[in-house]
Amino acid sequence: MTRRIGTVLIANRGEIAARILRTVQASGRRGVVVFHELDADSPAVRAADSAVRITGATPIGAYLDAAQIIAAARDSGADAIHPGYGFLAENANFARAVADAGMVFIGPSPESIELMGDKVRARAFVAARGFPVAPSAIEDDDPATFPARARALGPPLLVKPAAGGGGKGMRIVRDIATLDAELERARSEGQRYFGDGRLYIERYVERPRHIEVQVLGDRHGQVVHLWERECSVQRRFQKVIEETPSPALTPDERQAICEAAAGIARAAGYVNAGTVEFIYGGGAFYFLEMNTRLQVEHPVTELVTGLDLVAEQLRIAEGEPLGYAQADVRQQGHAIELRLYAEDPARNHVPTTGQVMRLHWSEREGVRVDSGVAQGARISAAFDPMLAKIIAHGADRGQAVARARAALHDTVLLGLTTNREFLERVLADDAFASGAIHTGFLDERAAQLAIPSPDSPTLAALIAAAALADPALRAEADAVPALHAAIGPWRN
Amino acid sequence: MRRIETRIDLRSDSFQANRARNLELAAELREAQRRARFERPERDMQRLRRQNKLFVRERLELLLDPGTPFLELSTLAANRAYDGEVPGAGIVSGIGIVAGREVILHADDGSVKGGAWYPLSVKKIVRTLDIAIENRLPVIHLCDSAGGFLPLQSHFFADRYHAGRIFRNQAILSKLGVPQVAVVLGHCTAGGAYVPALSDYSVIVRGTGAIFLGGPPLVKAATGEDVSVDELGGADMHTQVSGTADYAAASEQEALAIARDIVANLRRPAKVQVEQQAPEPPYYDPAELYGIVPPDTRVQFDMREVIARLVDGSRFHEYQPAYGTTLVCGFAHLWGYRIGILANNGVLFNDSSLKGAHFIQLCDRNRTPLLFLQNITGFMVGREYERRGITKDGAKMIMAQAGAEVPKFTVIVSGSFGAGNYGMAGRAYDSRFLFFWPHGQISVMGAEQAANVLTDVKLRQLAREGGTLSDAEIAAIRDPVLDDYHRESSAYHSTSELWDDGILDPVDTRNALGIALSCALNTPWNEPRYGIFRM
Amino acid sequence: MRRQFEIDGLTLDAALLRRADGYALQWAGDTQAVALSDPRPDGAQTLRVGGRAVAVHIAREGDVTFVQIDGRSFTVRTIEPLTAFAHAGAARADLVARAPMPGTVVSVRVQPGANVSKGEVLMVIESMKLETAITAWRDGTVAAVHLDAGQTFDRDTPLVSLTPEAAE
Repeated sequence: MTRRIGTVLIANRGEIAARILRTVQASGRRGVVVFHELDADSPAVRAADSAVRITGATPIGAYLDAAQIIAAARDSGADAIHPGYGFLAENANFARAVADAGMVFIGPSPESIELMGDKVRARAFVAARGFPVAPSAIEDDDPATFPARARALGPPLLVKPAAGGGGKGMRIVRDIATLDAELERARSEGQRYFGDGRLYIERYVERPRHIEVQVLGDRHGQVVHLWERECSVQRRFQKVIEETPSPALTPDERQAICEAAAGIARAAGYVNAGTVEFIYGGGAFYFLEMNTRLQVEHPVTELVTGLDLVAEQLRIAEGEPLGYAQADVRQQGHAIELRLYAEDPARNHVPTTGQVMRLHWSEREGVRVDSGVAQGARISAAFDPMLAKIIAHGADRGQAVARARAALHDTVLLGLTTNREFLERVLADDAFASGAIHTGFLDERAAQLAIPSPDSPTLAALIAAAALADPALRAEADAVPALHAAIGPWRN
Repeated sequence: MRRIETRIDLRSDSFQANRARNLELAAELREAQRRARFERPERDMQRLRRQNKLFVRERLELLLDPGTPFLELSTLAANRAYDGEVPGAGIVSGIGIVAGREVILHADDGSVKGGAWYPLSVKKIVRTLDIAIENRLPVIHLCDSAGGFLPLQSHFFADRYHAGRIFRNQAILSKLGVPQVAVVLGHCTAGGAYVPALSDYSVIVRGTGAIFLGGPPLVKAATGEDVSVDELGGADMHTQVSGTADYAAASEQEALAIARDIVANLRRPAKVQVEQQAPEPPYYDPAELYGIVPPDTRVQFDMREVIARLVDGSRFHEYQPAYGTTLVCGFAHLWGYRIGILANNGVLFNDSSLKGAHFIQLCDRNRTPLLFLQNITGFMVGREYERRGITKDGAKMIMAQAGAEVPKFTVIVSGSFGAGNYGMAGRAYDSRFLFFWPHGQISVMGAEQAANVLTDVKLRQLAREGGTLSDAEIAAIRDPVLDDYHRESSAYHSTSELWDDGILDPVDTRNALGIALSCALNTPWNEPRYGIFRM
Repeated sequence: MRRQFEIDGLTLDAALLRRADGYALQWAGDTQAVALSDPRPDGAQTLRVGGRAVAVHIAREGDVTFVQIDGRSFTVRTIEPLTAFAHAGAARADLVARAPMPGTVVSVRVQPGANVSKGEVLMVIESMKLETAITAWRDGTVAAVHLDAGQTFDRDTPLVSLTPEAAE
């Protein structure tokens, strides 16, 4: 069955709302955006065909309020809801409620969300079908023996909330003595973020690489992969730089990992866009989890495959067949994405706040910017600190990286501290250039990547700039009579 | 305006000899100033550090706007007094820029005798405040004084221009609407306590600043009361209880920053509107002054060559170039300000006196400040000149000069002798500023002349009694007179006694006059009005 | 005129001077002519310092100037002399815990008036997906709790105040 989607409500904010809206409108559909008042001036709200204000006890709460959003969708005549990523994107109840309200949820089935959303079940499902998984201990199997089983795996261990995702609440335990305390904290964070304190532990692979594979499945049983993405450059389990193809994989390994991903999706009867994440190390890869949504880093896949993933999602949601075979999906060139965060690299990447007082994005060839902020925007601590994604495409990795560096250099964003310079330093790093990255890369190279203190001529220039831009200070200097200014610091 | 064409041969022996000697004199001046400003007995500097006080020169730099000039006045006051132990008379005085405002500064130097006021200290403060009154300059007092130096009280207490004049001048300034800011950085005892009390604003440093009529020992002696410095007159008491001071500061640095903020908020009265043009440096190098002016006051030189090295573009419009030629008169610009210059090129005759009187009235009428460049041995004497009325012609010049309403500035470039000093706006005539060049001399007549007059008198006395004097006996009369004259007519003696506002290195004259001219524009000028000229 | 400039953790004393023609910067014993052009259409301005000229982007908010220069971004905080002295003299720093980073209040553990001992948890905040406990930095009495659970805050926002020691 096919059903034409005329109006899409986007249940998200920031860059992804703007990104989805672009395709929705480009394909001749109406785009409706919900927004909390903090986002009233955001690019998505400005560009939307209509925008509906939502409220909540906290700003995040507004975007998590399924009933309010579904009501907004119904009131604005939407046929479908695109959840973006985060918030309600992997909430099976929401997907179900959307369907119950007579609208299309642009994403997989609630059952797929449930299966993959439970890390423990997902892992068991994947392992049972012969795909590789890492040694692990699952609390739910037997809560009483959980700590003992965890100890038995031996360090290093990775503790995760069973219901988690996005790195929230994850902890590495290298000293078994601290295990109990870490379990306690992870449980508390899991409870708070996901309303679920159950935990899950697996063997932590040292110097692991994070490689994931984009998959698309239609309602007619066809699943293809759109090749891999490498997302090893992370800090605190948050991706910072993603690229495709992965510089780590041999062609055979690439084939194996991508086919495994497509196989898992196929086995799950997966429909719409999803991402299968793997841990890769020492030539082996293990299934990590499957994200049942559009990923932040989807643009790199778009640039090398030439496909618009949001357009594909819409087509699939309307019930259309993919219309192409695996062999038709080619990787052309290399793409890299840089996440521009409102954070201070010099202070352990703590989030920063402030107003975007000056904003200019690069307009270079091969560069795409997905931004969720406009000049004048106030960046608060209420939401995720990601401001924008700068994505560069090149014939090869070298060209893509060079374009990305130039794009960063072109970028002007004044008013708050960002990781822009830090990203430039990562791209300029020798180890990064050689492709020798892993999820601990940023910590390991922290000293080399630390932004050096400004030298004396730079300090002089900064002081001069601040002084000359300060009308009160200029007025004080101007108060000196012309005669005395001309005589200067003379003493008789 | 035409540029002066120099006739100086820079390679001539006389130029080179003058230059060598004048550079030595300038170096001596710099060294004497350095010592007066910075050289202190180690124990005095240690005491300052122990008291957690800054040296007065550090205070100055914190107070003044960075990158701006400071015209220090009478740096060498008291250099020939009190066995040389009271450099600068223990007071720093000068004109500078604070928060963009022209101000005059009176700073007690706590490193000199604990900031005690000597008679010449009082004279220097009174002169500083006179300048403030004449030029309507806001005053900043940096107070750090132990009080009057009691052994010399008869020389600074009772008379008209003694210490009482300081407070009288403060009151007059206030009456004129000229603001004063006192920063109490040490003790203000007895009379000194009135300095902050009579200021419009006063800042006091917690811990080191104190204000009281009588300090704790005096209180103890007078009433038997035991009281600490802080209780008696500390920052918190005065800013919270007595209201004698307005702002308490945690440090000297903060106190000076507060003072700057106060000055920044003062009203800026309009200056006298005068014609001004864009300043232009002299075409001829001012350093050539060293070779032009002979170090011996008896040797003649052309004052136009000096003018050429002071004024904008070395341009000079000479008035009556062919009449009364021993007095050069004319218009020029200095730092963009139009000025009328009267400069001596020899003894004043009848015609030069009349020319001077005429030119002064001309300048007064067209609102042009007057610059007197002195190198004067006096008015011409002799039967012929008396018959032509040299005395009444000189009187006309004095009448014109004393009565002029435009500001006057005087530089003693070389000699300043006899009534010539009066005609050329000597100290008694209230020039806004009077500066000396290092080799300059000042006395009622030249030393040789005076010695000759005195030996002649003696010889005539003896001759009437039939006696004579041997050469040795003549020398015994002459030499002490010569010595006294040489000593007491020197620029150093003059500046020690505050007969002037300081000795200038000749190359500094242009800047000093520029700053002085700017100050003079703060006071409105009255319409020209004169006494009766004896025709 | 004089200011303190905070850049990259450094506190620098410098002064902007008026010259016969334009301005000069006095810093670290050096005085150099400086000039800043009007913005070009792309917002960049040409900054001259001595003999060098560089393109800069500048934005100001209150005492903070954001400067992007040669691809690097900096935050320059300008402090007036009186403010610097006032801060130096103030003993208030002991009274209030301020947010070390922007975030959200997870829970409040004390009420105003409570007696707390050093190390006791006053409030838990969440930032960067991590919880941080704000603990009492000395024994004392809680004077005020400035935020409720769920509220978001910027860096340096007051969180919990203790009463002055002398008052206890």
